[in-house]
Amino acid sequence: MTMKPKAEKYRIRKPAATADLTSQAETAVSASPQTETGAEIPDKQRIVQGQTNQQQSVPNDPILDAIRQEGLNARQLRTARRVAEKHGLPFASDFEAVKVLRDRGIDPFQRNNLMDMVTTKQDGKISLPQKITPSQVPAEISKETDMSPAERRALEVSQIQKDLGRRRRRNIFFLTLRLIAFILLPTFIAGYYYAFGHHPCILLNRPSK
Amino acid sequence: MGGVISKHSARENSRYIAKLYGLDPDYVEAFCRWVCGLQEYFDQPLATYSSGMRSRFTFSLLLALDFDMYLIDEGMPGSQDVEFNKKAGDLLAERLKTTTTIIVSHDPATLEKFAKKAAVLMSGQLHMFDSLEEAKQLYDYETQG
Repeated sequence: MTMKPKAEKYRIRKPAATADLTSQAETAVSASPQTETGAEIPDKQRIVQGQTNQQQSVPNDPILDAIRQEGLNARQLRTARRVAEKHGLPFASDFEAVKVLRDRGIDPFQRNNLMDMVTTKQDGKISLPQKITPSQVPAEISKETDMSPAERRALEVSQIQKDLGRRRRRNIFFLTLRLIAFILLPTFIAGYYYAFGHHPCILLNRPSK
Repeated sequence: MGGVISKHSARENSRYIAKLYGLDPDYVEAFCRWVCGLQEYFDQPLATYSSGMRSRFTFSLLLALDFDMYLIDEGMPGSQDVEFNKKAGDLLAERLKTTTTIIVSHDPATLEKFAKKAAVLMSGQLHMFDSLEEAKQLYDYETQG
């Protein structure tokens, strides 16, 4: 868009500085789960706490450093901590939780599949999910649509045109049929009756010989 | 696109307009029926149509008549119907190859699609340019500079 924006902009975050702070804060919060009163502590303090926590709890371990280098986000670290707690594993920091879980052969970031909760065994038989043949993409072009779009258009339009003509002819045919049946035929019958039939009024009006 | 009478059906409107332009009414009707795909509603009065149906019909009528020059203002009829958009888009693209188009828009992408030359109307003066880029520069300078 080359138009000048007319609406005022509100609540626009300054991108660089605050984003950095918040990300730090996130890691800090995740690193210090013991502080119950985390919400009341101002951000800067929390950051300092988090950093010190990490520094204290994480000695120079190459594996932990490698995990730290992976660039896991706060959410993943929280998940790892939760999973480690669930399995009752000891850990001092989030990265250690990841390490401990991996040592146990548990992938901390694997999603629990809801479908796993459904028992697959019924009456001793393993019921497999219904097999669906995947649709072919792109679809095959059938013979009918093999023509160029312009040709097909011309064909379809001419078909509609012919159909219009056919309908009109049929309508005219039925109209003439109705005219014959309900107007011309009664007219001729009545005419014949009055002309050649023995109707009393005609007999009376006949000139006398 | 106007020029249709809402009391009359699409069929009557299309045939009437075809007669005005000296075209074959059957062909125009068939063409409109095919493009807009209104089926049985084609014989209903235009007043009973929804705005989408109406715009489809008027657009198909526009395509049925072979003009030498198209004037397209910003408000191009936009339809949501996929099949209609495909049909109408193909037809319009075909037409635009052989016809002259004058299009008015604020959107550079639209202009790039249709136009080769552009002019900018600035404080009552029309500045004509041979290329779109030059016109865009002036337009951006005026609005954003």
